[in-house]
Amino acid sequence: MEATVHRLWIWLVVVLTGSAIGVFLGNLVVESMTK
Amino acid sequence: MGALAAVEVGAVGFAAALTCLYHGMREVMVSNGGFCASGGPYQINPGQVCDSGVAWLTFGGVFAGLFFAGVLAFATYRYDKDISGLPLLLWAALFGALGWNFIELGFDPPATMSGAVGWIICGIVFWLMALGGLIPGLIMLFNSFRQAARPQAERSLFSEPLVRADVNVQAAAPPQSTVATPEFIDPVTGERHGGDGA
Repeated sequence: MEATVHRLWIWLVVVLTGSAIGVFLGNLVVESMTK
Repeated sequence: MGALAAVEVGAVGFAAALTCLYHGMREVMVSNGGFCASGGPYQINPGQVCDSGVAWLTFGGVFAGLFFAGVLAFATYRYDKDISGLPLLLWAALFGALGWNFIELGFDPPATMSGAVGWIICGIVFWLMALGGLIPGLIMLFNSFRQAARPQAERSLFSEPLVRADVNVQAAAPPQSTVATPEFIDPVTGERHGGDGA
């Protein structure tokens, strides 16, 4: 399967948005565990 | 589409695990001076007793981070095997985030600590390790994009033979008929060949 720029940009956006959501969820976990 | 969903799950999980590890480590550094213990047969200094929540955050962050990094890397490979550099970037994220804890708390240590030069040294080492992953990781990812942007004809460079013989068979000289010399004297034996006497 040949890579295309379009596919790579989709991947990058998914990874970056996923990371942002993960940091948000991680902070929620930290708050609940340290209270 | 399934691979892309797994990429999302891996990214969310890794980032959440790294956030937990980051805060767990930071809490131990601020509250306990950087190390703590609990349980076992030894008497533990009250200032060094682990908070159970922090211990869970730290250990859970490590193992969950490893697991989700694997999910993310595998899903990325399944989505598009030409994407490279991701594991190095995850490495850089890990050591960059934890190195920031060392650097920041090294320069601004908790009130209970007299000095934290060791943390600054650890932070510099962590950031050097992070740079060792960040720079090649970004280069590899950039190259993935550059390769994908090339036209198909250019990318097939190595699928064809690189060298071909440039011989025009039609234009080659016709084979010459051998013409017997009328006479040949062998320089070694001195025998006479050909000619009328052969």
